[in-house]
Amino acid sequence: MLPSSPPIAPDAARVAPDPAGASRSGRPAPVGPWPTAPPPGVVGRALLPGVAHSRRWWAGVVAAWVVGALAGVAPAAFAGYPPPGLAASALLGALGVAGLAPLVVVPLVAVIVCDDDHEQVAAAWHAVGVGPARRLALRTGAAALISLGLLPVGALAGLVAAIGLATTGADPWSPGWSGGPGPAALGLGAGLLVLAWVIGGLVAAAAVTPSRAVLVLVSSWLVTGAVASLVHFSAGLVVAFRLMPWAPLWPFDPGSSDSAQFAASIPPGTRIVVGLLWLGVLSVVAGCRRRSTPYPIPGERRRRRP
Amino acid sequence: MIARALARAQIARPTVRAVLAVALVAAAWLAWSPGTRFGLVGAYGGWRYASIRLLDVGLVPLAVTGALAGSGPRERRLDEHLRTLGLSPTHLVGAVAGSGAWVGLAVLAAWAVGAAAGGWLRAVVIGGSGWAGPTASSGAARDLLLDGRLVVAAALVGALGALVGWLVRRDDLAIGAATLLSIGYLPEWSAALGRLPVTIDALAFSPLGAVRVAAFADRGLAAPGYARPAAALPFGAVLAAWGAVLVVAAVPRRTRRRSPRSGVATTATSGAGPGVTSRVPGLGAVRRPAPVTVVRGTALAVAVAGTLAFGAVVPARTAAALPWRWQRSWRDAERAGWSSPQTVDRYLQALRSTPVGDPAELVAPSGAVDPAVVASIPRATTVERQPVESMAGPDHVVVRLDFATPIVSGSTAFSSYLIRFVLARDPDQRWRIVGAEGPVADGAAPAPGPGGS
Repeated sequence: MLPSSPPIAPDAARVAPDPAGASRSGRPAPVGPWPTAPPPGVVGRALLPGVAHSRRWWAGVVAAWVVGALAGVAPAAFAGYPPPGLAASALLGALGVAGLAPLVVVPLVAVIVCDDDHEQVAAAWHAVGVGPARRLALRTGAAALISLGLLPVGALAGLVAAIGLATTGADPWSPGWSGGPGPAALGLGAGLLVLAWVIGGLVAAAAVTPSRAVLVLVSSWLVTGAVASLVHFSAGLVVAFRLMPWAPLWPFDPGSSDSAQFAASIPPGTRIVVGLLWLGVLSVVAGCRRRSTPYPIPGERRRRRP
Repeated sequence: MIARALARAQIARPTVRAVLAVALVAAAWLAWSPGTRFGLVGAYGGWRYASIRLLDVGLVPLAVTGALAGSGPRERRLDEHLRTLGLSPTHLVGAVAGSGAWVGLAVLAAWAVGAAAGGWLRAVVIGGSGWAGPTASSGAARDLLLDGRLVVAAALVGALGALVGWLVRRDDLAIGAATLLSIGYLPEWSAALGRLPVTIDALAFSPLGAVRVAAFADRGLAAPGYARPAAALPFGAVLAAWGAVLVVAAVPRRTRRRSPRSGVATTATSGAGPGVTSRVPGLGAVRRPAPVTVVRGTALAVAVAGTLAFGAVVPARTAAALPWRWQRSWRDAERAGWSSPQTVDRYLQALRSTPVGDPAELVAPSGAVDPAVVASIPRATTVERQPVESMAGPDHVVVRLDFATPIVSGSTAFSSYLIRFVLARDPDQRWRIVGAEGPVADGAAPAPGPGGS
């Protein structure tokens, strides 16, 4: 039980474990059953059962199911193309989850990474020789591993929705890959998934608690969407919109969307620069936060030391 | 008293205070920017304009704070302590819902302060009454009635949010659930929802949608053009039904059974979450193992059935509601090379080629193109057809003819003309020209000198 434990001093958290039993600073090294920090695979496997039974995992599953079902029939329902084959629909469902990873996977990763701080067991990692940065990285990797489980969920939902569409008999159906995504789309989906893991980990490191992380994400989505819709009425807000946190991933381009309210053109160079800028801001905020308080205790304010 | 204490504890949370600050700033911004265009300056004027926005833009912070009021005590196990002190489950849920209502009123207060501040600041900047412009009020009685409805609606949204938060148990999930429940009424969604009007109707039957309809007697959306007057009473019944469902789900069912280890009779609480192993008697220390497989199997069967039905019903309807450029028939015509701009392109190419081609198959049997149009096309120096993205519809294509030598008409010379082709789709899904309007002068050239032709 760690809630009543005092926060560990920042410098103590950066002490590397020494096999000889003492750190370089002369202080006693953390003692634990592991001679070295647990490898990422062990962390992931250990985390899986706990998360798989939690409500946020099931919330993620529901979200992935909805997204996958929509994506599986998207070509016929939203783009005016013939229904894709069943296998293609399954792939589209998984791709839909990956494509909407900023909305589906980022919050899941963020709240999982926040767990240690929120449940105040972060110091236990310290006891086994894992510092804050490595702990967050391991936790992010494990959360990423868990989030991969959402892809089959989306694929199954896409397949089921496509079967439902095929039962209407309006179009001939095929079990194959016709109408499926191309390699470029698959690459984009994979890239978005990896980006979502990075963003989720950084948001968690900066926000500390799950509620704050979700609130930050929801606020950033709403602000980006609101400013994007205002650009249609006030062209002067174009610059402000391009600086919004999710503008680098804004999907509605005038060439591919007829939404006058949300379609906005952002040059690829601007997307990359602004995206890197926001990732840098998140990294700096997370780094400063962890450097000042490696093991923050939610609900408690730091007291100034004499 | 417990409800107020819980609400005070919530308002002391930095997260909740941050949301209250967001509500205040949003209201100030709303009262500052568009409302003042209609003379709604001043503190009261700003409130009059921005108050009703509490149930669209302000619905998100309102629902989120309410949900946090419900999830906070649950996540921190405060409910267990209160029950240990003798509070019955029903009273506990009532207290939590009450705290949500109080927090909702706090958001309303923040909204009011922000709206008044925005209106007052606008009056300071652009002049006018610091209290209200002449058009702000629609009568004291109507203003009071609307304000009263807003107060009740804010409390109800807070209470419903608290019940949802209580059910989901975690702050992060509570924020997500509250956002999902309230996000549909953001004005930014109006155009998207308007494409499928059934979604607007469905939204009115959601928990927070029912609050909004009952408060405003309008089951439409916040954006202009989406108002749909409706009777408040039926939606009051819908709201009551939602409240009953949430309360029933939130109040744990008590079943007494004997502990297999100690033999001590304890009270199992079905509302206790997985992994919750309280040692407090009466709080679910001993539970019958939940039939996880059955529950999950049923949930999966329901999800599969629902998704099959979705796939069978929704895509056809959404496809029919798509804009013309995303319609299946348009895609097919484009693929076959017989969309309206492709037909016009071939028509122009036929008339401008040497020797002149035969455009007969491009013109519908019932159609005819004015000889003036036919004659002008080969004479133009360049011909430019409007891009598909700028077409208002599939049945009209505008072509611009540019002339290097301006054409003089009276004392004016014109260098460009517009022709508007009218097309119709044949039964064989081919777009053919049925008429043409023009040419009409578009751009005037510098006036020619004497003797110019």
